[in-house]
Amino acid sequence: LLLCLATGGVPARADDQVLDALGLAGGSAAPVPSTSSSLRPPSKIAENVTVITATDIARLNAHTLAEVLNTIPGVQLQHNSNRTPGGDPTDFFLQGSSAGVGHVLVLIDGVRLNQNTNGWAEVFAVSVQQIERVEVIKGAASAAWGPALGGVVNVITKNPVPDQVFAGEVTASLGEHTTTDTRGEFSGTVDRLGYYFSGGKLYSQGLLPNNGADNNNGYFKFIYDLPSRGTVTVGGSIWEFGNGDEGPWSATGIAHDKNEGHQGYSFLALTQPLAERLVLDLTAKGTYGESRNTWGDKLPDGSVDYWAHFFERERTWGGEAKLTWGDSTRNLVGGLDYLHGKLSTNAGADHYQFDRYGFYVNGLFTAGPLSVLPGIRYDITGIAGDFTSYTLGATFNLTDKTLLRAYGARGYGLPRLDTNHYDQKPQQVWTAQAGMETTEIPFLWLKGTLFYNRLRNAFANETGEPQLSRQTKQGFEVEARTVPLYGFSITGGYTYNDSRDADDKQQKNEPVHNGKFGLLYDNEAVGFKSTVTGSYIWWNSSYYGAKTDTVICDLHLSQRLPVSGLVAPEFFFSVRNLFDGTQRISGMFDNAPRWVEGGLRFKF
Amino acid sequence: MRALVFLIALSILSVLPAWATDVLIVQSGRNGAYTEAVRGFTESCKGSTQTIVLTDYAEVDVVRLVKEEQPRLVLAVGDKALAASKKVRSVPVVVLLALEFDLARPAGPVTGVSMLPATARYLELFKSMGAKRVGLVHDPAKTGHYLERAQARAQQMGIELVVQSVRSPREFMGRLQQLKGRVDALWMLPDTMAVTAETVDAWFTFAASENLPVVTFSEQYLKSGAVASLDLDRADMGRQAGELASALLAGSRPAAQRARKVQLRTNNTVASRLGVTLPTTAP
Repeated sequence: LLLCLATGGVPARADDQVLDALGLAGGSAAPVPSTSSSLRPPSKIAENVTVITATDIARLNAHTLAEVLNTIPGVQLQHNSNRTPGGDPTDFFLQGSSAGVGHVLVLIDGVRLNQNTNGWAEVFAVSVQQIERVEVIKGAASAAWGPALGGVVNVITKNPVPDQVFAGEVTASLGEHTTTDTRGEFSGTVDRLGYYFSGGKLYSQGLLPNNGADNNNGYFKFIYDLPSRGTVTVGGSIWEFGNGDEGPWSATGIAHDKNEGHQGYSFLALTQPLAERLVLDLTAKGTYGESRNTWGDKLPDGSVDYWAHFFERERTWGGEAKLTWGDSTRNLVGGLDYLHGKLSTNAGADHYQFDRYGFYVNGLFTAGPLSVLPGIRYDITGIAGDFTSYTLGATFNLTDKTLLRAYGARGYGLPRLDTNHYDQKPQQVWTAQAGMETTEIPFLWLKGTLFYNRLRNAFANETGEPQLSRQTKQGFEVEARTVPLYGFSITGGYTYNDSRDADDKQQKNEPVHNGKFGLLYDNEAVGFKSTVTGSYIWWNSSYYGAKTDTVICDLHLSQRLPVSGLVAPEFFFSVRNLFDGTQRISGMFDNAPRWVEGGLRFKF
Repeated sequence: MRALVFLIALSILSVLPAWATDVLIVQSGRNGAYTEAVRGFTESCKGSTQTIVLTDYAEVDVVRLVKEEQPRLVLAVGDKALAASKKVRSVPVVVLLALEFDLARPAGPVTGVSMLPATARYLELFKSMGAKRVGLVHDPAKTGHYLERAQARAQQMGIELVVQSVRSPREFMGRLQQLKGRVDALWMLPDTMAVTAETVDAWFTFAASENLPVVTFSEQYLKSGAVASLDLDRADMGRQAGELASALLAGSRPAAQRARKVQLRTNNTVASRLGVTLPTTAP
């Protein structure tokens, strides 16, 4: 799915005096926020997509991808409350489907981040520094992406700065319990070669007991413009993490766990136009990852009795070839994927190798206000037989300001290999979704989506023994955003999900009600920004100690300081859990009380 | 399933008549100035065009758009379009009506028409007015390169440029006062740091108190007290950009150019009060 036009914050207005005098001011027929959160022209996306950009991320003073996802309507982090940044491996949900059981595909630079043993994606360990944009597709997208039963989180990284030989940014922050985030990037373009490097260290003694973080990361990307109008891109990233969990969950004492690991990937990509409107993309990619988890009980005398040690290690390599024919109104995209994986773990799968192939064709046909989007994909999963996914979507421009969209699809998720109780079968979904986006109401952008997902052979999030079951997940989602008025704007979203098993019993430990909001203030003249975000999730929790009756709010402030030479400094300050509330799915994963952090950002 | 196969086949067929677009026009917004310039462009560049208006969306990924649309070049109209097109590397970018476009520092495969006319145009005007010392306030980051060229040209013409630099509008008043008694005329450039809603009144109040003629870039300031303006001909700038685009499509690599056609507008009341003689046509 190639996406081209994105929503984001409404850009700050520069002083219009000169532009006014030159007849160039305004430039907008109406202060219309985007009619879509997709990256294609809004009229060409049938799925429910939300996008967040680097600009939005900067104003959140976020450290990790998990914190970014926590602010996106329709995404529910299992440990959504404030815990130590980078110290908290967390599962997350889209329309009741979770990454932790293989339902949500997470990609960075087109490389799959999910572990092949269980689908888990370590979003808490991914630094935001190199992120240009995060696109979240809510709902099955297997016809385009393969194993994406519940949706896709697609992370797009920054490209080299095109018009400077050397530019960069350095950020340092300090918060309570020695929570520090030191990171930077430098980038530029020399003739046809562009480069981008970033790296950082996120450290904390822990806002909660045994919840510290010691994470390091590095990233690089080179882009070379070929004389043939093509580009060659090479990039890669490595990161390592160490953290723990502690809570009143154990029968014999206090649960006291430790996690550590490292992960990385690299890729080499060629994009080459072959003819008018015919583009070839070739990509080679590889990943590695290793994690070790130790589970123990903290005994009354303070000692720890470690009673379980898990490890998993995996290497994958593969490639993709894709041909794109047409333009953004009529096109056909066809391609094939190959992935070879080698895993070893002491949790279920032992040693495992697989060869996975995928073949797909996706199209777009536009006639006037109507666009039709068919797609089909055949996967040889290598671990769970073959699977055919298909989709048929449509969008219709009802008026200039109102878009209708709908799609139906069959998709799948890979089975978990760390539970060897079951035959390995793909988890399956049938989905039907319909929605509308409109700016008919002055100063307001509104999007609504109804979803119905029928799952078979799907892992449940119930406590106790993992179960494969038939499930139905249905509900709706509403997103809204106002245009800025005197610098103020409001964003918000509400998602309702009703998950039931084959006996029509409501699924436990899934988000049912989720509300998010943001109150933004921008004063460009003095370089001041203020953001208040809030998140509320009501979990149908079966865990001990669950508490979900509080909205967790964060306050973020930033102030641009006078430019010194070529360096543009900015001060930022955050109060997390502003009202010192408690919101948790389980007593094991308490949230941190109110805490503060501040720092400086230098751009040059 | 049969319906799906039919739709896929229909999509394949629908691609067949999808002819290539030569020029992807990325337009910052919808207003008369852009329309006028783009009309000029299409007059002189006969290639097929497709237009994206950025203000119809909150953010546009032009790089991906180029990848999908496969145009042979991009026309970026306005500063927002220039910013959005900066990362385009695979095809040339022609820039039109963008203040930030600095033809002394073209980035990547970028060419276009600068919104600042040749320095000689202004300097000839000052010379014809008899001004020997011309004062201006500007931000070096925005108009520094232009001023460097102007300084060299002014020396040749026997004109002294008295330059005051600002890095924020707050510094403006102090810098403007530094020109007191040191200049015969003021030059107001389209510099977004030196010309703001807060500083415009200061320009003309200072000029009136010092009996200085102000030469500016827009006739809009004539009613505020400017003596003359050199206004751009947007349609001709569009035609100029169209010629650059045609040359690019023909395989050559033309250099960026300054706007070639400007129109002199004058405020004769102010001119006679100050005793300034003005030419009747633009230098």
